[in-house]
Amino acid sequence: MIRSSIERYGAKTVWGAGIVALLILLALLAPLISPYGSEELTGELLAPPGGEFPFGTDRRGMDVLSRTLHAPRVDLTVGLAATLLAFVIGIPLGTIAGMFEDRGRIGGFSAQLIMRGMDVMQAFPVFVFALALVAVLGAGPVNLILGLAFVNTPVFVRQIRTGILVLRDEPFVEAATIAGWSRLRIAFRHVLPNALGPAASLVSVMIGFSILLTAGLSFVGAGVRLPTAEWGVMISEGSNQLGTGEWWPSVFPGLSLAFTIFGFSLLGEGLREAPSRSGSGTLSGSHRWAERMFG
Amino acid sequence: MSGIHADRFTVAVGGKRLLDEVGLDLEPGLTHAVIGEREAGKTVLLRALVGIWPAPAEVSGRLVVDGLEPAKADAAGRLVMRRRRLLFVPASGREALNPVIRVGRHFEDVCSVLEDRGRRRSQRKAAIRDSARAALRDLGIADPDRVLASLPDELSGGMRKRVLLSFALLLKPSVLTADDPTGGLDVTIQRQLMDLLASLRRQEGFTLVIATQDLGVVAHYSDTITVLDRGRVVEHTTPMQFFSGPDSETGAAMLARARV
Repeated sequence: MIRSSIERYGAKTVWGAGIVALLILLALLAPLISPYGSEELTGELLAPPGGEFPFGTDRRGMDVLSRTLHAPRVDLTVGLAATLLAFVIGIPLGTIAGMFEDRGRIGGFSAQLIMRGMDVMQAFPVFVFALALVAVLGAGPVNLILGLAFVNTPVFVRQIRTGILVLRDEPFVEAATIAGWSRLRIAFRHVLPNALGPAASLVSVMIGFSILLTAGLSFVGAGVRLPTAEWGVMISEGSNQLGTGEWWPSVFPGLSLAFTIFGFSLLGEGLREAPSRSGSGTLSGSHRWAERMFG
Repeated sequence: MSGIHADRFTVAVGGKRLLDEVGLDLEPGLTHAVIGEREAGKTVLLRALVGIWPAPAEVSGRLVVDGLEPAKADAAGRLVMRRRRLLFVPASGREALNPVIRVGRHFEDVCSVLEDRGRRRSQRKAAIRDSARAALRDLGIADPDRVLASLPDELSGGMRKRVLLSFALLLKPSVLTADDPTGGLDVTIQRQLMDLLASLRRQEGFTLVIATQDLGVVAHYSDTITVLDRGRVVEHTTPMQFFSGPDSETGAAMLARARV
């Protein structure tokens, strides 16, 4: 079964999807399969891995395995929500920016306004910008989602705009124009669906990136706070003991984080390559893509 | 005044004349062929006849198509003329059909210009499906439902051409211009398609203008021949005269090449 899927979707897509599916499953089942609660104090401080505590315990006596298993419930949720929000905001902005660039006074102005706005947003280093946003909004998962969505939006806007610019002079777009449809209708009905494929494959990569940012922000104390189980917080908590040889409170969440981001990147890469696997040109890439993925 | 009449009709973009003082006199209800080498302006002419030209183009001279004067109308006016009466069928079905939209929905889009607002949406949809099926059957497609449910890329080149032509038939134009209707098809399908077009033209009585490089098609199906060279009409004649000896160099060159 795996072999035939690899043939059809490519190895990267299959392995990436496998890792992501495993993570989601673990996140869902965490309360059932973890030996302790995510914030439960076992009384054993800094117990090394092995025996009763396969991943050891941290300096407060919380079981590292249980916390590592619970962490994706926060990290995945924040990463997914932030990316999807950015995607949903990015679609209309990118479509308008692409479709109306150099077209008419009002349209051209809106396109310029959107793109210059994105320039401003991207002028700041992403991490610092997200840090500042969360600092202003206040720490917490919801604000973290809003902040990350904000910094991710320009990526999607640019991706969609580029796709639209490539497609907007295609003969079928001209045909729709000649038939007298409004530019907005043409943009969303005829051009956008053809540009969605590459942007959709970017979603997976951006989820991984958002999870990394979430962990990073939590590491410096701007995201999720103790005692919530979250990889960045755990790494940050454990980092104090790294110097004294108690490595396990940081290393296990660190490895999980790396594995997660690897999975999402792999999936994103696989999806990006899917249209070329089917051997079709860029124009029909999108529906081939959809066909391969959903049909 | 029906038929197509042009006098010193010129379309220029940025100083370059795509059509250069074209004079034409095409009778209604016949099949007219426009021939010429690549870049001769065939497509530009066919599009101009139904009032399509790029927005910054400078258009001058007189053009009367089936009593309408697209050159005198603004973009909105030309749109009204095109909806129903003047139709252009592009050369490539692959490029002209949106690859992510199923053929059935293409039909709905096309037919929505007919505007029978009186009926409910679902009824209108059903009616469009019915007429689409009929139009596809008219073009010799045995299984129209499969075609309607397909994405454009799932159809063969000949099928896509038929789909484009069936759009045109649904709208019942009085002038139909078809760019290279036989291009990229194999010979038997070429014949089928041209036979269909010819019989439909007789049935419906529209004026058909085709652009082609295929002199075989011209010989079989056209009533007049117009030879274009770099945007100018260099010869306007009948097939009989053309094939017994063209007057223009371009025509002679094309004929010589066809005879090899």
